This record gives sequence, C-alpha cells and structure tokens, in this order.
Amino acid sequence: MPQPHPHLTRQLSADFLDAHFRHWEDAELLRDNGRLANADQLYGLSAECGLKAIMQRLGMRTTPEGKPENPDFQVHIDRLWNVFRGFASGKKAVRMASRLSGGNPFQDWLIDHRYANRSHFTPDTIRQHKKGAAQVRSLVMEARLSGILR
Amino acid sequence: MTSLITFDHIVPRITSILEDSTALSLRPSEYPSEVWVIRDFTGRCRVLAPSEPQVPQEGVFLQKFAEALHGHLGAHAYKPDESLLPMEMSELAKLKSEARTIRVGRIALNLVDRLLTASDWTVFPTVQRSGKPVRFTLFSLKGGMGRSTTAAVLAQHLARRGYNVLLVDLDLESPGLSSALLEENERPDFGIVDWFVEDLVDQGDRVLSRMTARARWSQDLRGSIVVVPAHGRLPGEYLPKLGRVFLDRPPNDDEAPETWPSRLSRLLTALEEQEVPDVVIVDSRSGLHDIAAAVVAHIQAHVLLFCTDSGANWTGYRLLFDYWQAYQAIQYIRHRLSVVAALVPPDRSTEYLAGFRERAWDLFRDTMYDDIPPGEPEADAFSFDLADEQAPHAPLPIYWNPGLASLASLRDLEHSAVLPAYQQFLMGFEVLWSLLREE
Repeated sequence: MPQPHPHLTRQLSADFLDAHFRHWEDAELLRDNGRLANADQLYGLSAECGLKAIMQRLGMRTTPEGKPENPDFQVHIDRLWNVFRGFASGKKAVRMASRLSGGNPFQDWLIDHRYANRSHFTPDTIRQHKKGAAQVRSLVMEARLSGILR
Repeated sequence: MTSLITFDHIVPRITSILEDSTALSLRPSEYPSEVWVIRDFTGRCRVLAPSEPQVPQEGVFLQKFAEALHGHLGAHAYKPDESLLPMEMSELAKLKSEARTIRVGRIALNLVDRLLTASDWTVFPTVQRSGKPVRFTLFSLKGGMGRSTTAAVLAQHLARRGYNVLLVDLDLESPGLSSALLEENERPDFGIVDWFVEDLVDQGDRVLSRMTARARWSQDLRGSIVVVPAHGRLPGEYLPKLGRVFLDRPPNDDEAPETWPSRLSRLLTALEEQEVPDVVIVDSRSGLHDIAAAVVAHIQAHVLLFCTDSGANWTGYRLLFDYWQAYQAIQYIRHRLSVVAALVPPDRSTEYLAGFRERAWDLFRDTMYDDIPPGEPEADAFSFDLADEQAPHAPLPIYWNPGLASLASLRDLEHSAVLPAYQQFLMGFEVLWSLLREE
C-alpha cells in the first residue's frame, strides 16, 4: 500500500470555526499580557477564519485542507474583508455581510508582519484590528443563531 | 411510522416540557426562572446556555432540557451534541428585545426567532416621537382597495384647508403614485429607492433635495402637496436598486448596523426637516410585507387599515393582531389604528356597514381591547362599544362607484365620482384629524 507523502501527513483538515475561536482567545491572552505583536497577528487570523467558516457554509468550495478552490478567496484578512462583501449575494448572505463595516479595519494588516520587529505594533493599530475581529465574532454568533453555522 | 412533527408543534411542545414537572426529573428549585430557545432560519431549535447561571447546577437543567427538545421536536431540533449554544450575558441582553416571552408557570420562556422577513412587524421604537407633523400610513392586505386614490383625496382635502402635505410613495414594488400625481415633466430626478441605495454609500443627503416635487395641479390650493415618488423621472436600474432597499446599513466603526425600519424613519425625518409639512401621508405596500411592517409598526404613524367585509380580510388581520398579541405588542399599536371600509356597495350600504362594523368589533374585542370584568371601573381601559363612532373599529366608509373605478388620473379629483364616494369618509376623517392635532 502506498504511503502518503510525509509532507501531506503533517497537513490537518481545516476547522475554520474552531480556528476562529482559538485565535481570538489567544489574541486576547496575548494582548492582556502586553504581547501586542503576536496578538495583532492572531486578531487578523481569527477574523479570516470566521469569515471563511461562514463562506464555506454559504457555498465556498474548499480542498479538505481548507484551501478555497477559487483563487480569489485564497487571501488573508487584509483582502478577504472586501472579498466577503463582494461574495455575499442572496438574502441570508447579504444580511450577514451588511453587519460588517464598510471601511476595512484590516487594510494595514499583513500576514508578512509576522517577520516584523515588535516595535512596529502600537496600541492604536491593535485596537483597530481587535475591533474588526470583534465584528467578525459577532457575525459568527449571528450565523450560529441563524443556523448558518452550527 | 412516527407522527409528523411540524413547525406549529414547536411552541406547544416546548411549553409542555416545561409545564410537566416530571419531564426532566428535576426538583422545582433546579429550574431557572428564565429559559432561552432560539429557532433558526430553518425552523430548528436549540437552547441558549447563559454564561452566568441563575441556579446552582444550571448546566444539568440545560443539558436535560436540550435533550428533551431533541426528543420532542423531531426534525425541528438540533442533534443532542449541537443543541446547546453557549452565550455571553452581553449577547443575551441584546437578544432580549427580539425575544417573545411566553409565561410557563413561574418560568419565562424567551423564544428568539431568526427570520429573513417579517421580523419587523414587532419592531416598535422605544422613543415616542413628537406628534408633529402628523403621519398617516395607508395600509391594506390586498391591492385594489383604493389606497392610492385615498392618499390623493386626503392630500387634496388637507391642502385645500391650508395644510402642507407630504405624500410618500412607499409602494416600491408596484410604484405608480408619482406618475398618477405628477406630470412627466414635473417629476423629480430621484425617488425613494435612490435614497436608500445612495445612503449605503453615505450620500443619501445629496439626493434628498432632488427627490421631491410640488404637484402642479395642486397649485391653486391654500396648502401645498409635495410628492416623494418611488423613482425619479428616469427610473434607471430600478430592480437592482430595489433589491438593495431593505438592507441594514453597514456600521461605521463602533456603531451597530442600522436596521431598515430605522433607516426609513431617518429618511422621513430628513424629508420632514426639508419640506416642513403639517402632515405626511405614506402609501404603503399591501400585504404582510416588510415595507408595510415598517410603516405600520415603526414610524409611529396613525394607520388607516383598508378592509372589505370578507372572510379573507378578517382572517388576514387576525393573523397580524394575534402575532402582535403573542409579542405583547398590542399596547404600542392599538391607539394608532382606524378602520376604513373600502369599496362599500352603495345600493346596500346600510346593512353592509352594519355587518362590517360587527366583524371589525369582534376582531378588535378579541385582540386589541381590554377585558373589563363586570363592576370594574372602565375609566382608563382601552375598550369601546360596538356603536362608538370614535372607536378604532368604527368604519370610515369609502363607497364604490364605476366612475371612481375608472378614474384615469389622480390629478382629476374634481371628477364628479369622487365627492359622493368620499363625503362620509372625509367627515369621519375630520374628527380623527382634530383629535390627532390636539394630541
């Protein structure tokens, strides 16, 4: 029997909803302890996972590892925020999307900031990104109440 | 084969689980005083688990209650491992205003419904608006009852007496009031749908001054009639705009999203500030639609309910009134209602109106009026006799006639058919108008 490639065995299947929660919880822990740089990354990842959890339930197709099949959706939160607003069509989805603010709070957030020096992360930028992540959090709660997410 | 459990079994079955003291094998002290159930888009139910317990071991109650729901609601329940949804107290507090509370003994069952439409029928503003300008909403369950004609007749009647009238066409899915009231070349650039779409990108105020027009046919009257049409001179891409009207407005920063009824209220207030009318007449869409919900429930207008004496009509209104009753919303609406008897047959009007009045009274007595036990003082009670002419159920009659039915244009109100049809209605309206102005 052929063995799976060692690289693939390290790949875990995606659970966007759980990832959304754990990134938020850890971001809060880090922020409360003054670890702003990594808290900032995790707020962004939490928001991305929350939106992708909803998009998946609204019809976004993904590989088992969670990579969206549509390349437009293979983006992080700095671009996903506006992609989500464009993706939403139909009553359920549009009701969801209209709960996100028009301005993208993550426009200055980048996944590559994980390589940056900690001095770049100020309380102001963190506050902004936390607000964005909190909006997605309440969107996820609404999606659960509505039956879109379990 | 197991029996079919449908949507309408949900509430009675949840209630009976809580009523039956043996259902969960718990002592009364182990029940919390407040229980939350959410019924989602698909009509499936689960239990909300508050983050702060009201009784020790509340988790045990919640687990058993959730399991019981699964056992009793069939396809309308979630699987047991998904049937409890943890909720922060702050989130729960936000849901409070949407919940319908059902008393089951000493337990308050809060049922939260998630609907795509219809949720706005129970959205009543918490702040009372000042009575000025007086607002009227014209509503009917079915079309073809003469709502738009009545809007025009009322506007003319009030303008003739020196009042400035703002006439708002909110029959957006069947727009036409503006073309009936304004000639082609006097229509404004924009209409209601344009405001709603531009407001989503923060420029509603820039179309506001270009969405009203003074009706030329009314220029000899003492007061003015200003019309706000559904669409402007060029309707443009009407359907893609209409499809965006009922959206909540996305929040800016820390705000909550603004609901569509609140947006409509904001639009009306802005129009009132701009035009300074004495009275606003809103032509609603017919039927149990979200537009009607907002203009009946939310904008605090006096509502003229157009009815005919038919079984379908009374059944329809009873559905709505029962729904308000279930949400304990009667108190917000009952003092703002007047019944209009539309399409009254002139050849047998006396017996028709007598029968109409009785059916209307039955409906209001069952749903809107207070019960007054014999011997109790009735000074503050909201209750009216069958014959009371100032009661909400007392019909304001509009007579059917062939001339009115074939009226080509609402600009032609001097037509001989109009006066006999509306004479009695306008007399009744005068009484209502003077009462509302005193308020």
